Amino acid sequence: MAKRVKSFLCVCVMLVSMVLINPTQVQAANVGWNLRFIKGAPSSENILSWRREYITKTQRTSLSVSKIEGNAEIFLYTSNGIATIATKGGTETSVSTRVGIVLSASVKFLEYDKMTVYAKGNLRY
Amino acid sequence: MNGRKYKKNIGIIIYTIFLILVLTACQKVPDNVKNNMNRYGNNKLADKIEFQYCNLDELRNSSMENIETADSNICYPDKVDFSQIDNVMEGSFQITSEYTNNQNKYLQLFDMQGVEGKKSIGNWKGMDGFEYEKNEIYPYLFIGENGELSYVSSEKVLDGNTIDQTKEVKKIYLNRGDSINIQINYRDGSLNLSEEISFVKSFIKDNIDIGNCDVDVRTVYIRKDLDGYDVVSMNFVMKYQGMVLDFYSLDVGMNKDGKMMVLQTNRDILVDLHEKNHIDWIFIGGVFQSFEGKAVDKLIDLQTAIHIFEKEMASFQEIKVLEIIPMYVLKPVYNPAEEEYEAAPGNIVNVEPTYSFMIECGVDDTPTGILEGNGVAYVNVNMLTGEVHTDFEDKYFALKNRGNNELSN
Repeated sequence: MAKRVKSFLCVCVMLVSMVLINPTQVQAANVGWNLRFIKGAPSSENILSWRREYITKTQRTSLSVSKIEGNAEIFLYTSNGIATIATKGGTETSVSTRVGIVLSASVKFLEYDKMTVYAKGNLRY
Repeated sequence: MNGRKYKKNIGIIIYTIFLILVLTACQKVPDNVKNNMNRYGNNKLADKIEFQYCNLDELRNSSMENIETADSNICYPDKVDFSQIDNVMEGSFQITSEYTNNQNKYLQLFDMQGVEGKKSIGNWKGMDGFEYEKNEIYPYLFIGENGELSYVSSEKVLDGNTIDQTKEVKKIYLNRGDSINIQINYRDGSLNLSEEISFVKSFIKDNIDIGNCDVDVRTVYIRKDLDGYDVVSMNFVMKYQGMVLDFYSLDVGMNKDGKMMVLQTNRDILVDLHEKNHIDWIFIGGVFQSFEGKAVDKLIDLQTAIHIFEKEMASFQEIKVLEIIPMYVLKPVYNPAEEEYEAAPGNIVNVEPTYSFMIECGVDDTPTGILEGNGVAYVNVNMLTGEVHTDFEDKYFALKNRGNNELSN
Protein backbone atom coordinates (compact mmCIF):
# COMPACT_ATOMS: atom_id res chain seq x y z
CA MET A 1 0.00 0.00 0.00
CA ALA A 2 2.78 2.41 1.01
CA LYS A 3 4.56 1.53 -2.24
CA ARG A 4 1.44 2.49 -4.24
CA VAL A 5 1.13 5.80 -2.42
CA LYS A 6 4.82 6.46 -3.02
CA SER A 7 4.43 5.73 -6.77
CA PHE A 8 1.35 7.92 -6.96
CA LEU A 9 3.19 10.80 -5.26
CA CYS A 10 6.15 10.34 -7.63
CA VAL A 11 3.87 10.62 -10.67
CA CYS A 12 2.22 13.74 -9.19
CA VAL A 13 5.61 15.38 -8.55
CA MET A 14 6.70 14.56 -12.12
CA LEU A 15 3.54 16.05 -13.63
CA VAL A 16 3.79 19.22 -11.53
CA SER A 17 7.49 19.58 -12.47
CA MET A 18 6.67 19.23 -16.17
CA VAL A 19 4.10 21.97 -15.94
CA LEU A 20 6.43 24.26 -14.00
CA ILE A 21 9.58 23.68 -16.05
CA ASN A 22 8.11 23.68 -19.55
CA PRO A 23 6.42 26.93 -20.38
CA THR A 24 3.41 26.42 -22.56
CA GLN A 25 2.59 28.54 -25.56
CA VAL A 26 0.15 31.36 -24.92
CA GLN A 27 -3.37 30.56 -26.05
CA ALA A 28 -4.22 31.95 -29.48
CA ALA A 29 -6.58 34.91 -29.63
CA ASN A 30 -9.65 35.13 -31.84
CA VAL A 31 -11.30 38.22 -33.26
CA GLY A 32 -14.24 38.40 -35.60
CA TRP A 33 -14.67 40.70 -38.57
CA ASN A 34 -17.80 41.79 -40.44
CA LEU A 35 -18.33 43.47 -43.78
CA ARG A 36 -21.65 44.59 -45.19
CA PHE A 37 -23.17 46.51 -48.06
CA ILE A 38 -26.85 47.28 -47.60
CA LYS A 39 -28.64 48.29 -50.76
CA GLY A 40 -30.41 51.61 -50.32
CA ALA A 41 -28.99 52.26 -46.85
CA PRO A 42 -26.98 55.40 -46.06
CA SER A 43 -23.28 54.95 -46.67
CA SER A 44 -22.59 55.21 -42.94
CA GLU A 45 -24.24 51.82 -42.53
CA ASN A 46 -21.86 50.10 -44.93
CA ILE A 47 -18.59 48.51 -43.86
CA LEU A 48 -16.65 47.81 -47.02
CA SER A 49 -13.29 47.06 -45.44
CA TRP A 50 -11.76 46.23 -42.10
CA ARG A 51 -8.21 46.62 -40.83
CA ARG A 52 -6.69 46.08 -37.41
CA GLU A 53 -3.28 45.37 -35.92
CA TYR A 54 -2.45 42.73 -33.32
CA ILE A 55 0.64 41.21 -31.75
CA THR A 56 1.07 37.54 -32.60
CA LYS A 57 0.75 35.23 -29.62
CA THR A 58 1.36 31.89 -31.33
CA GLN A 59 3.34 30.50 -34.25
CA ARG A 60 0.28 30.17 -36.48
CA THR A 61 -2.04 32.81 -37.96
CA SER A 62 -5.27 32.00 -39.73
CA LEU A 63 -7.80 34.21 -41.43
CA SER A 64 -11.13 32.75 -42.39
CA VAL A 65 -14.44 33.61 -44.03
CA SER A 66 -17.25 31.81 -42.28
CA LYS A 67 -20.15 33.19 -44.30
CA ILE A 68 -20.91 35.29 -47.39
CA GLU A 69 -24.55 36.17 -48.02
CA GLY A 70 -24.85 37.52 -51.55
CA ASN A 71 -22.25 37.68 -54.31
CA ALA A 72 -18.90 39.10 -53.39
CA GLU A 73 -15.16 38.69 -53.80
CA ILE A 74 -13.32 39.36 -50.59
CA PHE A 75 -9.62 40.06 -50.31
CA LEU A 76 -7.93 38.68 -47.20
CA TYR A 77 -4.51 39.96 -46.18
CA THR A 78 -2.14 39.63 -43.24
CA SER A 79 1.32 41.16 -43.16
CA ASN A 80 2.88 37.80 -42.24
CA GLY A 81 1.95 35.98 -45.43
CA ILE A 82 -1.74 35.76 -46.28
CA ALA A 83 -2.97 37.36 -49.51
CA THR A 84 -5.91 35.53 -50.97
CA ILE A 85 -9.37 36.02 -52.43
CA ALA A 86 -12.49 34.29 -51.09
CA THR A 87 -15.85 34.02 -52.84
CA LYS A 88 -17.65 31.70 -50.43
CA GLY A 89 -17.95 30.91 -46.74
CA GLY A 90 -15.89 28.14 -45.21
CA THR A 91 -12.63 29.48 -46.65
CA GLU A 92 -9.65 29.50 -44.32
CA THR A 93 -6.02 30.37 -44.97
CA SER A 94 -3.34 29.85 -42.39
CA VAL A 95 0.40 30.44 -42.24
CA SER A 96 3.21 29.79 -39.80
CA THR A 97 4.54 32.94 -38.18
CA ARG A 98 6.87 34.40 -35.60
CA VAL A 99 5.85 35.21 -32.04
CA GLY A 100 5.63 38.79 -30.76
CA ILE A 101 5.50 40.51 -34.14
CA VAL A 102 2.98 43.16 -35.17
CA LEU A 103 0.40 41.62 -37.46
CA SER A 104 -1.62 43.86 -39.77
CA ALA A 105 -4.81 42.19 -40.94
CA SER A 106 -7.02 43.59 -43.67
CA VAL A 107 -10.25 42.35 -45.22
CA LYS A 108 -12.10 44.18 -47.97
CA PHE A 109 -14.69 43.74 -50.67
CA LEU A 110 -12.99 43.55 -54.06
CA GLU A 111 -16.26 43.09 -55.92
CA TYR A 112 -19.88 42.97 -54.89
CA ASP A 113 -22.98 43.14 -57.02
CA LYS A 114 -24.50 46.25 -55.35
CA MET A 115 -27.23 44.13 -53.82
CA THR A 116 -27.23 43.58 -50.07
CA VAL A 117 -24.17 41.56 -49.09
CA TYR A 118 -23.05 40.37 -45.67
CA ALA A 119 -19.76 38.66 -44.92
CA LYS A 120 -18.12 37.62 -41.71
CA GLY A 121 -15.14 35.68 -40.54
CA ASN A 122 -12.42 35.29 -38.01
CA LEU A 123 -8.77 36.07 -37.37
CA ARG A 124 -6.82 33.73 -35.12
CA TYR A 125 -3.33 34.77 -34.11
CA MET B 1 -29.25 112.25 -76.86
CA ASN B 2 -27.34 111.77 -73.56
CA GLY B 3 -29.24 108.50 -73.04
CA ARG B 4 -28.08 107.12 -76.40
CA LYS B 5 -24.40 108.04 -75.59
CA TYR B 6 -24.70 106.36 -72.17
CA LYS B 7 -26.08 103.16 -73.76
CA LYS B 8 -23.23 103.19 -76.30
CA ASN B 9 -20.60 103.50 -73.48
CA ILE B 10 -22.20 100.66 -71.51
CA GLY B 11 -22.06 98.52 -74.65
CA ILE B 12 -18.34 99.22 -75.10
CA ILE B 13 -17.61 98.38 -71.43
CA ILE B 14 -19.52 95.06 -71.60
CA TYR B 15 -17.76 94.14 -74.85
CA THR B 16 -14.34 94.95 -73.30
CA ILE B 17 -15.05 92.85 -70.19
CA PHE B 18 -16.24 89.98 -72.40
CA LEU B 19 -13.04 90.21 -74.49
CA ILE B 20 -10.82 90.17 -71.35
CA LEU B 21 -12.65 87.14 -69.98
CA VAL B 22 -12.32 85.23 -73.26
CA LEU B 23 -8.62 86.03 -73.60
CA THR B 24 -7.70 85.11 -70.00
CA ALA B 25 -9.72 81.89 -70.19
CA CYS B 26 -7.68 80.85 -73.21
CA GLN B 27 -4.33 81.44 -71.45
CA LYS B 28 -2.20 78.32 -71.46
CA VAL B 29 -1.79 76.66 -68.03
CA PRO B 30 1.88 76.98 -67.05
CA ASP B 31 3.78 73.70 -67.51
CA ASN B 32 4.85 73.40 -63.88
CA VAL B 33 1.24 73.76 -62.71
CA LYS B 34 0.12 71.22 -65.29
CA ASN B 35 2.74 68.75 -64.11
CA ASN B 36 1.71 69.20 -60.52
CA MET B 37 -1.95 68.74 -61.40
CA ASN B 38 -1.16 65.27 -62.69
CA ARG B 39 0.30 64.48 -59.29
CA TYR B 40 -2.67 65.67 -57.25
CA GLY B 41 -4.11 62.19 -57.53
CA ASN B 42 -6.97 61.59 -55.12
CA ASN B 43 -7.35 65.22 -54.25
CA LYS B 44 -10.14 66.28 -56.60
CA LEU B 45 -10.44 69.60 -54.83
CA ALA B 46 -6.81 70.64 -54.97
CA ASP B 47 -7.37 72.70 -58.12
CA LYS B 48 -9.72 74.93 -56.11
CA ILE B 49 -7.06 75.77 -53.54
CA GLU B 50 -4.34 78.32 -54.02
CA PHE B 51 -1.11 76.72 -52.88
CA GLN B 52 1.22 78.75 -50.67
CA TYR B 53 4.75 77.50 -50.14
CA CYS B 54 7.33 77.85 -47.40
CA ASN B 55 10.99 77.01 -46.93
CA LEU B 56 12.46 74.75 -44.25
CA ASP B 57 12.98 77.53 -41.71
CA GLU B 58 9.40 78.71 -42.11
CA LEU B 59 8.19 75.10 -41.76
CA ARG B 60 10.13 74.70 -38.49
CA ASN B 61 8.47 77.85 -37.15
CA SER B 62 4.95 76.77 -38.11
CA SER B 63 2.41 77.45 -35.41
CA MET B 64 -1.33 77.02 -34.98
CA GLU B 65 -1.63 80.58 -33.69
CA ASN B 66 -1.78 82.22 -37.10
CA ILE B 67 -3.72 79.46 -38.83
CA GLU B 68 -7.14 80.26 -40.25
CA THR B 69 -9.62 77.42 -40.06
CA ALA B 70 -12.96 77.51 -41.78
CA ASP B 71 -14.71 74.38 -40.58
CA SER B 72 -16.13 74.74 -37.05
CA ASN B 73 -16.88 71.00 -36.91
CA ILE B 74 -13.17 70.23 -36.83
CA CYS B 75 -11.32 70.45 -33.54
CA TYR B 76 -7.59 71.06 -34.00
CA PRO B 77 -4.70 70.64 -31.56
CA ASP B 78 -3.59 73.89 -29.91
CA LYS B 79 0.02 73.40 -30.90
CA VAL B 80 2.27 71.88 -33.54
CA ASP B 81 6.00 71.46 -33.07
CA PHE B 82 8.02 71.10 -36.24
CA SER B 83 11.19 72.56 -34.71
CA GLN B 84 13.00 69.20 -34.58
CA ILE B 85 13.18 68.82 -38.35
CA ASP B 86 16.77 69.09 -39.62
CA ASN B 87 15.95 68.44 -43.27
CA VAL B 88 13.04 67.46 -45.48
CA MET B 89 14.12 64.92 -48.06
CA GLU B 90 12.77 63.42 -51.25
CA GLY B 91 14.21 59.99 -52.07
CA SER B 92 14.29 56.42 -50.87
CA PHE B 93 15.58 54.10 -48.18
CA GLN B 94 17.11 50.73 -48.82
CA ILE B 95 16.14 47.94 -46.43
CA THR B 96 19.09 46.31 -44.70
CA SER B 97 20.40 42.86 -45.68
CA GLU B 98 22.13 40.08 -43.72
CA TYR B 99 20.91 41.47 -40.39
CA THR B 100 21.22 37.96 -38.95
CA ASN B 101 24.99 38.53 -38.86
CA ASN B 102 24.17 40.31 -35.59
CA GLN B 103 22.92 37.07 -34.04
CA ASN B 104 25.73 36.56 -31.48
CA LYS B 105 25.42 40.14 -30.28
CA TYR B 106 21.68 39.76 -29.74
CA LEU B 107 21.91 36.30 -28.16
CA GLN B 108 24.30 37.78 -25.62
CA LEU B 109 22.18 40.88 -25.12
CA PHE B 110 19.11 38.79 -24.28
CA ASP B 111 21.05 36.22 -22.25
CA MET B 112 20.46 33.42 -24.74
CA GLN B 113 24.07 32.49 -25.50
CA GLY B 114 24.53 29.00 -26.85
CA VAL B 115 20.92 28.63 -28.02
CA GLU B 116 20.88 27.00 -31.44
CA GLY B 117 18.99 28.97 -34.05
CA LYS B 118 16.72 27.36 -36.59
CA LYS B 119 16.27 28.79 -40.06
CA SER B 120 12.81 30.26 -40.39
CA ILE B 121 11.54 30.34 -43.96
CA GLY B 122 8.99 33.06 -44.51
CA ASN B 123 5.73 32.78 -46.40
CA TRP B 124 6.86 35.32 -48.97
CA LYS B 125 10.19 35.68 -50.78
CA GLY B 126 12.57 37.69 -48.59
CA MET B 127 10.83 37.03 -45.30
CA ASP B 128 13.50 34.66 -43.93
CA GLY B 129 15.37 34.77 -40.66
CA PHE B 130 16.38 32.73 -37.61
CA GLU B 131 14.36 31.74 -34.56
CA TYR B 132 15.87 30.94 -31.17
CA GLU B 133 13.91 29.23 -28.41
CA LYS B 134 15.60 28.56 -25.07
CA ASN B 135 13.07 26.44 -23.19
CA GLU B 136 10.81 25.09 -25.94
CA ILE B 137 9.56 28.60 -26.69
CA TYR B 138 10.57 31.24 -24.15
CA PRO B 139 12.76 33.21 -24.01
CA TYR B 140 12.15 33.62 -27.74
CA LEU B 141 14.13 35.58 -30.30
CA PHE B 142 13.50 36.08 -34.00
CA ILE B 143 15.98 37.94 -36.20
CA GLY B 144 15.00 38.60 -39.81
CA GLU B 145 17.48 39.23 -42.63
CA ASN B 146 15.71 42.58 -43.13
CA GLY B 147 16.21 43.79 -39.57
CA GLU B 148 12.88 42.63 -38.22
CA LEU B 149 13.40 41.55 -34.62
CA SER B 150 11.22 40.14 -31.87
CA TYR B 151 12.39 39.18 -28.39
CA VAL B 152 9.90 37.80 -25.85
CA SER B 153 11.20 37.01 -22.35
CA SER B 154 8.35 34.76 -21.20
CA GLU B 155 4.83 33.62 -21.99
CA LYS B 156 3.27 36.15 -19.59
CA VAL B 157 4.35 38.99 -21.89
CA LEU B 158 1.92 38.03 -24.66
CA ASP B 159 -0.78 36.66 -22.41
CA GLY B 160 -3.49 39.28 -22.07
CA ASN B 161 -4.97 37.26 -19.21
CA THR B 162 -2.18 38.47 -16.89
CA ILE B 163 -3.47 42.06 -17.30
CA ASP B 164 -6.35 43.44 -15.22
CA GLN B 165 -8.64 44.48 -18.06
CA THR B 166 -11.13 46.12 -15.71
CA LYS B 167 -8.57 48.85 -14.98
CA GLU B 168 -8.21 51.81 -17.29
CA VAL B 169 -5.06 51.93 -19.45
CA LYS B 170 -3.08 55.09 -18.69
CA LYS B 171 -2.00 56.57 -22.01
CA ILE B 172 0.79 59.13 -22.17
CA TYR B 173 1.40 61.02 -25.42
CA LEU B 174 4.64 62.92 -25.16
CA ASN B 175 3.94 65.01 -28.29
CA ARG B 176 0.72 66.26 -26.72
CA GLY B 177 2.53 67.56 -23.66
CA ASP B 178 1.64 64.73 -21.25
CA SER B 179 3.94 64.53 -18.25
CA ILE B 180 6.37 61.64 -17.78
CA ASN B 181 7.14 62.65 -14.23
CA ILE B 182 5.11 59.85 -12.67
CA GLN B 183 5.99 56.89 -10.51
CA ILE B 184 5.92 53.36 -11.89
CA ASN B 185 5.27 50.59 -9.39
CA TYR B 186 6.65 47.33 -10.72
CA ARG B 187 6.57 44.02 -8.91
CA ASP B 188 10.28 44.41 -8.08
CA GLY B 189 10.23 48.08 -7.06
CA SER B 190 9.42 51.62 -8.12
CA LEU B 191 11.04 54.27 -10.28
CA ASN B 192 10.17 57.40 -12.21
CA LEU B 193 8.84 56.94 -15.75
CA SER B 194 11.35 59.46 -17.12
CA GLU B 195 14.20 57.26 -15.81
CA GLU B 196 12.65 54.19 -17.42
CA ILE B 197 12.29 55.97 -20.75
CA SER B 198 15.96 57.03 -20.59
CA PHE B 199 16.94 53.44 -19.84
CA VAL B 200 15.02 52.03 -22.83
CA LYS B 201 16.24 54.75 -25.18
CA SER B 202 19.85 54.06 -24.21
CA PHE B 203 19.25 50.31 -24.47
CA ILE B 204 18.08 50.72 -28.05
CA LYS B 205 20.76 53.23 -29.07
CA ASP B 206 23.63 51.32 -27.47
CA ASN B 207 22.65 47.78 -28.38
CA ILE B 208 20.32 47.60 -31.37
CA ASP B 209 21.44 48.22 -34.93
CA ILE B 210 18.76 50.58 -36.31
CA GLY B 211 20.64 51.59 -39.45
CA ASN B 212 20.84 55.25 -40.33
CA CYS B 213 17.81 56.34 -38.31
CA ASP B 214 17.43 57.82 -34.86
CA VAL B 215 14.76 56.89 -32.30
CA ASP B 216 12.51 58.87 -30.02
CA VAL B 217 9.83 57.83 -27.58
CA ARG B 218 6.32 58.77 -28.66
CA THR B 219 3.75 57.01 -26.49
CA VAL B 220 3.65 55.14 -23.19
CA TYR B 221 0.80 52.91 -21.98
CA ILE B 222 0.66 51.78 -18.35
CA ARG B 223 -1.54 48.82 -17.46
CA LYS B 224 -2.10 46.98 -14.18
CA ASP B 225 -1.42 43.28 -13.83
CA LEU B 226 -3.75 41.07 -11.77
CA ASP B 227 -1.79 41.84 -8.58
CA GLY B 228 -2.03 45.60 -9.15
CA TYR B 229 1.56 46.14 -10.33
CA ASP B 230 2.36 48.27 -13.38
CA VAL B 231 3.18 46.90 -16.82
CA VAL B 232 4.68 49.50 -19.14
CA SER B 233 4.51 49.60 -22.94
CA MET B 234 6.49 52.13 -24.97
CA ASN B 235 6.37 53.07 -28.62
CA PHE B 236 9.53 54.51 -30.17
CA VAL B 237 9.33 56.15 -33.56
CA MET B 238 12.21 56.15 -36.03
CA LYS B 239 13.45 59.49 -37.36
CA TYR B 240 15.61 60.49 -40.28
CA GLN B 241 17.26 63.88 -39.95
CA GLY B 242 14.67 64.88 -37.40
CA MET B 243 11.61 63.84 -39.39
CA VAL B 244 9.46 60.94 -38.16
CA LEU B 245 8.98 57.83 -40.31
CA ASP B 246 5.38 56.68 -40.66
CA PHE B 247 4.54 54.63 -37.56
CA TYR B 248 0.78 54.16 -37.83
CA SER B 249 -0.64 54.20 -41.33
CA LEU B 250 -0.93 51.27 -43.70
CA ASP B 251 -2.52 50.84 -47.08
CA VAL B 252 -3.13 47.59 -48.88
CA GLY B 253 -4.66 48.01 -52.32
CA MET B 254 -4.50 47.30 -56.00
CA ASN B 255 -1.45 48.27 -58.07
CA LYS B 256 -1.46 49.20 -61.79
CA ASP B 257 -1.22 45.52 -62.80
CA GLY B 258 -4.25 44.56 -60.76
CA LYS B 259 -2.21 42.86 -58.03
CA MET B 260 -2.97 43.45 -54.39
CA MET B 261 0.02 44.93 -52.67
CA VAL B 262 1.18 46.95 -49.70
CA LEU B 263 1.09 50.48 -51.06
CA GLN B 264 2.09 52.17 -47.84
CA THR B 265 3.87 50.73 -44.81
CA ASN B 266 5.26 51.81 -41.43
CA ARG B 267 8.13 51.25 -38.99
CA ASP B 268 8.40 51.59 -35.25
CA ILE B 269 9.87 49.97 -32.16
CA LEU B 270 7.62 48.56 -29.44
CA VAL B 271 8.81 47.66 -25.96
CA ASP B 272 7.10 46.11 -22.90
CA LEU B 273 8.53 46.08 -19.38
CA HIS B 274 7.21 44.10 -16.41
CA GLU B 275 10.18 44.81 -14.12
CA LYS B 276 12.55 47.71 -13.46
CA ASN B 277 15.03 48.32 -16.28
CA HIS B 278 14.22 44.98 -17.86
CA ILE B 279 13.10 44.58 -21.46
CA ASP B 280 10.47 41.85 -21.57
CA TRP B 281 9.43 42.35 -25.16
CA ILE B 282 10.91 44.31 -28.00
CA PHE B 283 9.70 44.39 -31.58
CA ILE B 284 11.40 46.17 -34.46
CA GLY B 285 9.51 46.24 -37.73
CA GLY B 286 12.67 46.32 -39.89
CA VAL B 287 15.73 48.47 -40.43
CA PHE B 288 16.85 50.81 -43.21
CA GLN B 289 20.57 50.83 -43.97
CA SER B 290 20.92 53.75 -46.41
CA PHE B 291 19.13 56.72 -47.89
CA GLU B 292 19.48 58.24 -51.33
CA GLY B 293 17.81 61.49 -52.23
CA LYS B 294 17.93 65.24 -52.00
CA ALA B 295 16.80 67.90 -49.59
CA VAL B 296 13.80 70.00 -50.62
CA ASP B 297 13.25 73.56 -49.54
CA LYS B 298 9.96 74.45 -51.21
CA LEU B 299 7.10 72.92 -49.27
CA ILE B 300 3.36 73.48 -49.16
CA ASP B 301 2.82 75.47 -45.99
CA LEU B 302 0.72 74.36 -43.03
CA GLN B 303 -2.08 76.82 -43.82
CA THR B 304 -2.48 75.36 -47.33
CA ALA B 305 -2.34 71.81 -45.94
CA ILE B 306 -5.18 72.72 -43.56
CA HIS B 307 -7.26 74.15 -46.43
CA ILE B 308 -6.75 70.92 -48.38
CA PHE B 309 -7.62 68.86 -45.30
CA GLU B 310 -10.80 70.85 -44.66
CA LYS B 311 -12.00 70.36 -48.24
CA GLU B 312 -11.40 66.63 -47.83
CA MET B 313 -13.32 66.54 -44.55
CA ALA B 314 -16.26 68.61 -45.74
CA SER B 315 -18.80 65.77 -45.46
CA PHE B 316 -17.86 64.80 -41.90
CA GLN B 317 -19.19 66.13 -38.63
CA GLU B 318 -17.32 66.62 -35.37
CA ILE B 319 -13.85 65.51 -36.29
CA LYS B 320 -11.09 65.70 -33.70
CA VAL B 321 -7.57 66.10 -35.04
CA LEU B 322 -5.32 64.73 -32.31
CA GLU B 323 -2.04 65.79 -33.92
CA ILE B 324 -0.61 67.19 -37.13
CA ILE B 325 2.62 65.28 -37.65
CA PRO B 326 5.30 66.08 -40.23
CA MET B 327 6.12 62.55 -41.32
CA TYR B 328 7.68 60.47 -44.10
CA VAL B 329 5.09 58.22 -45.71
CA LEU B 330 6.82 54.96 -46.71
CA LYS B 331 5.95 53.45 -50.09
CA PRO B 332 7.58 50.08 -50.80
CA VAL B 333 8.82 49.19 -54.28
CA TYR B 334 8.45 45.45 -54.94
CA ASN B 335 6.83 42.84 -57.12
CA PRO B 336 3.80 41.17 -55.52
CA ALA B 337 3.31 39.05 -58.65
CA GLU B 338 6.48 37.17 -57.67
CA GLU B 339 5.22 36.55 -54.15
CA GLU B 340 7.81 39.01 -52.90
CA TYR B 341 7.72 40.43 -49.37
CA GLU B 342 7.45 44.21 -49.46
CA ALA B 343 10.08 44.47 -46.72
CA ALA B 344 12.53 41.99 -48.30
CA PRO B 345 16.24 42.65 -47.65
CA GLY B 346 17.72 45.18 -50.07
CA ASN B 347 14.31 46.43 -51.27
CA ILE B 348 13.69 50.10 -51.90
CA VAL B 349 11.14 52.14 -49.96
CA ASN B 350 10.29 55.59 -51.31
CA VAL B 351 9.66 58.37 -48.85
CA GLU B 352 7.18 61.22 -49.24
CA PRO B 353 7.22 64.16 -46.82
CA THR B 354 3.70 64.59 -45.52
CA TYR B 355 1.53 66.49 -43.09
CA SER B 356 -0.24 63.64 -41.34
CA PHE B 357 -3.55 64.60 -39.71
CA MET B 358 -4.15 62.00 -37.00
CA ILE B 359 -7.88 61.71 -36.30
CA GLU B 360 -9.55 60.13 -33.31
CA CYS B 361 -11.91 57.33 -34.32
CA GLY B 362 -11.91 54.66 -31.66
CA VAL B 363 -10.29 53.15 -28.62
CA ASP B 364 -7.78 50.35 -28.59
CA ASP B 365 -7.26 48.86 -25.15
CA THR B 366 -5.55 45.67 -26.33
CA PRO B 367 -3.79 44.23 -23.25
CA THR B 368 -0.37 43.96 -24.92
CA GLY B 369 1.83 46.51 -26.67
CA ILE B 370 0.78 49.75 -28.33
CA LEU B 371 -1.16 49.55 -31.56
CA GLU B 372 -1.88 53.22 -32.08
CA GLY B 373 -3.19 52.80 -35.63
CA ASN B 374 -6.24 50.89 -34.34
CA GLY B 375 -7.72 53.91 -32.60
CA VAL B 376 -7.06 56.58 -35.20
CA ALA B 377 -7.56 57.34 -38.86
CA TYR B 378 -5.23 59.38 -41.01
CA VAL B 379 -5.43 62.06 -43.68
CA ASN B 380 -2.00 62.51 -45.23
CA VAL B 381 -1.32 65.66 -47.27
CA ASN B 382 1.84 65.44 -49.38
CA MET B 383 4.10 68.42 -48.61
CA LEU B 384 5.31 68.65 -52.22
CA THR B 385 2.21 68.00 -54.31
CA GLY B 386 -0.78 68.47 -52.02
CA GLU B 387 -1.95 64.96 -52.87
CA VAL B 388 -4.26 63.53 -50.21
CA HIS B 389 -4.40 59.97 -49.00
CA THR B 390 -6.60 58.59 -46.21
CA ASP B 391 -7.61 55.29 -44.66
CA PHE B 392 -11.23 56.38 -44.37
CA GLU B 393 -12.38 53.36 -46.31
CA ASP B 394 -11.05 51.15 -43.50
CA LYS B 395 -12.18 53.49 -40.73
CA TYR B 396 -15.33 54.97 -42.28
CA PHE B 397 -17.78 53.12 -40.10
CA ALA B 398 -15.93 54.08 -36.91
CA LEU B 399 -15.66 57.72 -37.99
CA LYS B 400 -19.30 58.04 -38.92
CA ASN B 401 -20.43 56.29 -35.80
CA ARG B 402 -18.32 58.38 -33.43
CA GLY B 403 -15.63 55.91 -32.62
CA ASN B 404 -17.79 52.84 -32.29
CA ASN B 405 -15.74 50.36 -34.24
CA GLU B 406 -16.59 47.47 -31.98
CA LEU B 407 -18.91 45.95 -34.56
CA SER B 408 -15.95 44.94 -36.65
CA ASN B 409 -13.76 43.92 -33.75
